[in-house]
Amino acid sequence: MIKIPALIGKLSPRYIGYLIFIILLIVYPFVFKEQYSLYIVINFLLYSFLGQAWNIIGGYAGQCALGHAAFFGLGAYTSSILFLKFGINPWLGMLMGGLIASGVSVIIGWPSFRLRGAYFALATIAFAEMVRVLFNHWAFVGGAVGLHLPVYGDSLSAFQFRSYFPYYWIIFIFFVLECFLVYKLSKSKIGFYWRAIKCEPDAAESIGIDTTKNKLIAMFISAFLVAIGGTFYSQLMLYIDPRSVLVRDLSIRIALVAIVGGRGTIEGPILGSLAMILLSSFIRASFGDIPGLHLVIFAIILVVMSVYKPLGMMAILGDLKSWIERRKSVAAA
Amino acid sequence: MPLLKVEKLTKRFGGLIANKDISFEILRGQIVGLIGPNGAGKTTLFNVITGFHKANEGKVLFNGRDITNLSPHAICKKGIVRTFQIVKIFDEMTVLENIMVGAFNRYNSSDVAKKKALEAFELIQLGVDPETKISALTFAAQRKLELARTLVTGPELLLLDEMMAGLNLTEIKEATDLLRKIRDSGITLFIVEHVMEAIMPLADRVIVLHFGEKIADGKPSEVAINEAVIEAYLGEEYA
Amino acid sequence: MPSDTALIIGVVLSGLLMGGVYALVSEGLSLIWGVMKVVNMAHGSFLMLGMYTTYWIWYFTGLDPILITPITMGILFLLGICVQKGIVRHIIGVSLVSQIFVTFAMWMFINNLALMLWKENFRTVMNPLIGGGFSMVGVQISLPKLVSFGISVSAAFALWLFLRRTKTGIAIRAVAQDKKAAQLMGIDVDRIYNLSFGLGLATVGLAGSLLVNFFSVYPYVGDIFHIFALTIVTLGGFGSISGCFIAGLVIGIVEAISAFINPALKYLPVFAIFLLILFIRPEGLRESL
Repeated sequence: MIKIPALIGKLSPRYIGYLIFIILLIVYPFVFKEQYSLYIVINFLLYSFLGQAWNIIGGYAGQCALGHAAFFGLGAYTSSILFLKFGINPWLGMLMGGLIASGVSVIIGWPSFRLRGAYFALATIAFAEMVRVLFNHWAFVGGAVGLHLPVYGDSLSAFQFRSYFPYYWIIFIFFVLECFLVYKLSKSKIGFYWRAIKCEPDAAESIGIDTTKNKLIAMFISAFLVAIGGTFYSQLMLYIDPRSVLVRDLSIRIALVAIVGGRGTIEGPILGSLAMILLSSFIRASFGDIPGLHLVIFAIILVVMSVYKPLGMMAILGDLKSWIERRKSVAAA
Repeated sequence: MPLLKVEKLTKRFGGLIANKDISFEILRGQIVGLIGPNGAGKTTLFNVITGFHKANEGKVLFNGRDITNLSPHAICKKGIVRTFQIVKIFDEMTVLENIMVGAFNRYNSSDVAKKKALEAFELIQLGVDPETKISALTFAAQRKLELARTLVTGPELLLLDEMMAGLNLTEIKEATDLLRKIRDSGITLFIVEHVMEAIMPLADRVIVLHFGEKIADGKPSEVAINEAVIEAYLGEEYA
Repeated sequence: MPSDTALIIGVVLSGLLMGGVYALVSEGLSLIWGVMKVVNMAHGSFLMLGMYTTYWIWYFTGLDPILITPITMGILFLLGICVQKGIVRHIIGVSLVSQIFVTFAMWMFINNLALMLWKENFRTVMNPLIGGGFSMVGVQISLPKLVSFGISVSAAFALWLFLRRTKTGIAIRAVAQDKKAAQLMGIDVDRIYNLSFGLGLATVGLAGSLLVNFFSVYPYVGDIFHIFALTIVTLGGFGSISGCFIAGLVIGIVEAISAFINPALKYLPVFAIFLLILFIRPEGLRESL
């Protein structure tokens, strides 16, 4: 018992923060048992999950891809179609959706990565729009009407539950695993390579980094994870259509979660997702359910933020930390 | 066999011929300077050799093998590394992390890369903490850092693009001593330079480019009195 | 003339005529892009605003859209200047991500504002002044499309003349080519920026006014035209009015033929062309975008 405080004393504030965060999330569903409370945090975790996945290609590797809704949709549709038409277990379908999405991401990424800056972003946007239009008119996947998944009640094998409680745990575990993965990657050779590519791609090439290959790897992992999120969503809602899973809005929201929170940091997507969820809830509570209003206000905040703090909330926290340290040293002097 | 052999290299940008029919050899262990008036095509030549531009005609051979038009990262793997005229260090990383990126060229493990990076860090004697952010570095220190990063990739041939630009006399002396140490450790140097006081005493041989063509190639003492070279540099004054 | 051939020629012609209007949308984009070097993701939203402006004026006054056009152009011109002074001015020269970020935010803001104010309903202008069509050597020609094309060509030509022959126009091109040099020459760059953005939006307002004759208006209507405009500008060369015009005609024809072959997937060939051009000429694309 005496050892634990000593152990905690040795851990940096950062790791303590992580621990507290995880403990809070574990405790939450036992304290706030209402379906609505669970649903909010599931949303928060899902957006954090998606944002963290985007973070790999957009934050660490620095490639501003704005078509990730395509991968979300591909994941959702793949597992749903495989289940509906071929009776394949959604868990397996989830993996296959991930592989299809990442396969497609490599095919579209390879020529796109030759493009600089905005042209790359435009290519990803155009590609995502193509996927959406395709699915909107494809009878096999239900076209604009979408797909309804059959309701089985509580069934682990069919990846369906009557209450949000199990869903909470699934997305929580997914997210923790994902963060762990991103953390490990960021400290490894490929993580360093991604950051180098982001800062100075020419210099990176000159010291032996195959920029195209490494960008493709980032894209592959990113798309795979986003597709997983897509399957989770389809099993959560039991209904998908192009408007909900393939729309341009979603691509931007996924990117924004990471950008607003802080690109290239583990904590960024968490903060960004938190900000977005809190903001939506606050606006809905204050102004009622006016369609699009929370996005309007979010947009205003983004404009202000982009002009003054494009590095996101992590940068703001960093400034806060420096300010506190300066006050401390002044007080000590 | 020469370490680097360039044969009739030509590079055009539309109607402009930046490098015309350039041929030369660099032997292992030499320090070779590349000089010439502004716009002579020196950096372009570097870019072609290291794969940043595609050659229109001609060949580049390294250790006897044809490396013409390979991608920059492949050329690094073969053993040629370069620095840039405007220093390109990774500004979102610390000093040590910058060097580690180079170390990963040889080693896959983060721990080993960190160790090797620390060794290179000791060598260049930056005088700061390895965990310092880039923004705190002076200009000369940034140059040194870029150098350390290239060294740790384990090259046989190092191409330096105007390393001395903007350095004061003390810093130039430091840099020159460092370069000699590097050559003595077995790395061949090919250096573009404008600062004559630095390159002439240092180089074993000097190649001179003018309007994209090679106009001289020899010992610094010979090149300095070469008429074509003098005309290239001072020619306008006669007109 | 055999009826099949006549039909196909009619389709191609129809595409050509619409292409003129698409070209207008892209010319606005090209102007803003070229002069201010700003990636404007909200361009489609402004087109949507132009369409709504004409729609609502028609709704409350009964005036024909063609007649409303100058009013819409004026309103959008003023809007352009306000947006420039208020927002765009701050993101000139800023990092790419921030620009995309901010203009996407504008896109979200405008689209959702429209959604909030006017709901999702599709709104259509009824009984426009110029309607119907006629036949020429067996080929069907739509009169509204012909008139719109005529207006588009005139507008494109006027814009081209303005940029080449007037002092202000030349000043705009100067700023587009080299801002610092233009400043040193005494050109008031801020004024040029205001003017260019306003002009860009006015062009889009004109296009929108013409488009309401053919398309229903709803909050997201601008998005597809935005992709069209991007394709056209990439195909025709950014900053070139004549290039945009020709590219616009090409895209118009491609869309018409695609719609004829498979109405559901009519946008796919345009997307495909966009991606194809992006991939095939990366060397030609300038860093400044």
